[in-house]
Amino acid sequence: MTVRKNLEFGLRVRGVEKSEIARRVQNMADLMRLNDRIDWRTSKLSVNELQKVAIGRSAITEPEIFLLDEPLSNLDAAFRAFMRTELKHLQHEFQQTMVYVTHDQIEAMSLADRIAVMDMGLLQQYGTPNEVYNKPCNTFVANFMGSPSMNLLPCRLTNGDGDPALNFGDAGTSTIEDGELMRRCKLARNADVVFGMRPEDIEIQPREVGRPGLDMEVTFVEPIGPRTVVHLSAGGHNIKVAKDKQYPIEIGAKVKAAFPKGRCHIFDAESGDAIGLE
Amino acid sequence: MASLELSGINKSYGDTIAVADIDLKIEDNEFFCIFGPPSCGKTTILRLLLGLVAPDTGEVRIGGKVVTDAPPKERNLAMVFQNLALFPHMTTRQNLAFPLTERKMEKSAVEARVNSVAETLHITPLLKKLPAHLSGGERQRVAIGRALVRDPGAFLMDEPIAALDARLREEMRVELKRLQREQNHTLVYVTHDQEEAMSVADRMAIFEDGRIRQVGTPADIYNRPNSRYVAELIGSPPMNFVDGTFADGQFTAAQENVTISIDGVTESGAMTLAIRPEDIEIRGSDQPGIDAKVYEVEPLGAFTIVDIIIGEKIVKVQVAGQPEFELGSAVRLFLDPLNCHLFDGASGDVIAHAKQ
Repeated sequence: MTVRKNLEFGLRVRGVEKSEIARRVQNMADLMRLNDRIDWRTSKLSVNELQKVAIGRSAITEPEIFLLDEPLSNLDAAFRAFMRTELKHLQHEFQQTMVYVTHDQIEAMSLADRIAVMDMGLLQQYGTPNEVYNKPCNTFVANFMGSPSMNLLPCRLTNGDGDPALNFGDAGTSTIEDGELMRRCKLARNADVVFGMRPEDIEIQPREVGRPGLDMEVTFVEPIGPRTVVHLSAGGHNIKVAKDKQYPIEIGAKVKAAFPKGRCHIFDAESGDAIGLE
Repeated sequence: MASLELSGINKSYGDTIAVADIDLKIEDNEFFCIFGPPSCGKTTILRLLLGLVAPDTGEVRIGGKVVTDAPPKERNLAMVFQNLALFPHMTTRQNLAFPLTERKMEKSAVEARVNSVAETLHITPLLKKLPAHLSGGERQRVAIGRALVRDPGAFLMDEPIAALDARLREEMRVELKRLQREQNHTLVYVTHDQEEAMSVADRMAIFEDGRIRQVGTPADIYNRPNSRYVAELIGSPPMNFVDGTFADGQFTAAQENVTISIDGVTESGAMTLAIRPEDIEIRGSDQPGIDAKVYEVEPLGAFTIVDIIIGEKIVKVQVAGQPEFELGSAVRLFLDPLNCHLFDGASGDVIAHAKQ
């Protein structure tokens, strides 16, 4: 079948009037930028074009709810990035409800108005992309959303009845200055917890700087174009720090990984649930 | 370990050119990536080095010695494939020992070598397990271990981690790099994943249709791509391109009402202006700049991709953090001329990088 026939099909089986079919096919071809392919047989199309026809063929019947199951997984990376934008724009144009299944957190974050994060058949968290990213409800969500993923360090809250401190074993102990983190840590005094920090939130500073954090050593530097990922290690703990552009630092440098103010996460070590999340 | 050299290499299969005009020197102890889209000749390069195919013309040298006509077993190279050929009926220990017992190495020496390699790769606890009981990442380590036990002159790897999931790939590439650096290996690594190549390579070669387009460090190639082809392949989100003409120190876009002055460029004619998404600044509509509108916003947590439309042209801008933009709202774009690149409109070859 040609592209046109494919687009028409859903409307014909529904008995839509001929002139109306022609009008809607024309609109859809405009929208999908398939005009110069409209009379081609689908066997002559590229994978990328085929996917556009497939999406157009579903959209043209103007369903109330549009279900998509990993529609971009088989496309090459550059075209996937392009289609992501196009699909989001189409959804805004169609004003349709769209349910989109994906295992790619970048697609979920960039496309969704809201995301339901699933694990083993259970709903873990439901919210806007930024809500899920900024306030993950457990270590599964924290680890799944974001690339590089959130640094999750097992540690112990110590110091008895006084202000809690974070004990990272051989990597040392750090005080807590951040008010919000202090509030949450006080809810789990003297317990084993998991301390979380996003790679882009951590500051790399000279060790002399008296900020809460860990003294660590640079073990690896990944220059990946717009960002540089710096790997730090101390006492069996490894973390990643993401910096914008090309960040000048040498392997072996001794630095302080300063904890970000207002952007630390704390989870129960056993259940993995966020402690004191508001 | 050994350096690897290909000079004046051509190889065709019938009428199909596999690789052409290849001159490449991979230094001793170098992590060298071969990067390009599918069927651009990447794997042919490995096969030429291994001795699985002979070049039509040219010379292959390993450690300075000409091996063009030498059979694979005399080249002492180790290969790790994407589909890991582990023996399913053998334990990790037996799989690791196989290349050594095959060479009739003494039993105690085999034992010592296997133990030391297992330690390096952190797979000692897996020595008694069968491949079926290992995870994808563990199997990958064992496959690498089997190449490692032999103490080869160089390692060749063909997309060795492409089949693993994204998270594991990120970890494994760091592991590979650590290993290569600690053990001073010469490592030739084929990948079609630009981020992976940028992350691990000391230097990389970018291939197009069997030919080398550019060789350099990842930073070199990212900052100074020598053609539109290379610029398109490296970087995510991809670089933005605007077609137009250049004359008297000024670029004028063909479709959009945009002009940009760039110093130090004396050439003129049809050109493409290119700029990376992170090098564009979005300003308020009351600021000076190019008139544009917000088309879509893609939040990614650590940063946000804002798709901006100028006339009919969509430009991707990468902004740090989670800024809010209203769809359809008017904005102005600011492009620092120093961050612009100019490519020839016809050939795509670089004319100038504004930043010298």
